[in-house]
Amino acid sequence: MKTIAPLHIGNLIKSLAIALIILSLAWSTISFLITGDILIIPAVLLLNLVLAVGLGYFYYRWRYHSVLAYNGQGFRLQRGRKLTIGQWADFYQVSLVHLGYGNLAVRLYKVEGDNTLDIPTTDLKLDASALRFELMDLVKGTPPPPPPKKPKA
Amino acid sequence: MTIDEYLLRLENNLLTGSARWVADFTESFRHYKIEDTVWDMVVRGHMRGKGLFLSRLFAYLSLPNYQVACFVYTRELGDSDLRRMARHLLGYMKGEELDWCWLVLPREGPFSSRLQVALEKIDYRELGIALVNISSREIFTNPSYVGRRLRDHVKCFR
Repeated sequence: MKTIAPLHIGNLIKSLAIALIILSLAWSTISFLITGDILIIPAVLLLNLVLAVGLGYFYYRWRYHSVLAYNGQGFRLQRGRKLTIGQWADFYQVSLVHLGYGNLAVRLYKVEGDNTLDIPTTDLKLDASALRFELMDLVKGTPPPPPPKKPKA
Repeated sequence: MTIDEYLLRLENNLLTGSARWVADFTESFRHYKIEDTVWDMVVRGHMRGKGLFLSRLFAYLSLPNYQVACFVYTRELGDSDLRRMARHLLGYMKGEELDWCWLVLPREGPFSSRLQVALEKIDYRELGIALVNISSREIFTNPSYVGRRLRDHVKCFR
């Protein structure tokens, strides 16, 4: 299986920033409740920074880290803690989607139900257009779902 | 520049480039079949952008949520085919509740004068059509407002 699992620096920095803000707010609240003032102590700031790196990295792995492994039959997509395993034969159509803020994804349409699955190509540092064409070839043989039956009068 | 390279640039321009000033094009399909026509590219979108906080609120309060699409067809067309395609698209727009559409017809070489005359006579207000000659970088559009706006956004040769 071909596996793609890059470290997305943008998402990692976002996670570190979130952790640092939460820790700083927590320290400010605790020091205000105890002393009636917000204490700024260099050692505590340094400790917050070290803790933020650890917590931020954990949060990044838990929320954002994306891993895609695939071959001619199927794929395994992990986005944070969410794991999806599928076969190309379960999908019949592929599109390129702009999710906003310059983030692109390849969308797969499932044969059964109205479900879609997005492969976050920007997070995986992949060429969205090239992956789209590659996946179009892989799902080519799958027939589209039959049109919905009209309800009886 | 080949047709495939032009399609990639046009797709990029629609999804993330200058066309976002006109509409929020979000999803692009290649080789998309509608009835008996296979379109080289169909890009769907809407006019109400998302944004963050204030821009989202502004968009919600001030912009109509028109559903829009851009169709691209690269095969040879005659003047009667163009009129038939325009009527076919208008029918499809009604069925899909699309408010306006762009139709882009790129090719590597000049268009016949009959096709250009036929284009000038197509004046549906909800349909913009552009003939794009990739070799000479010439663009002809139909006279509707939607068509005139299309000119700036299909000009993605570099």
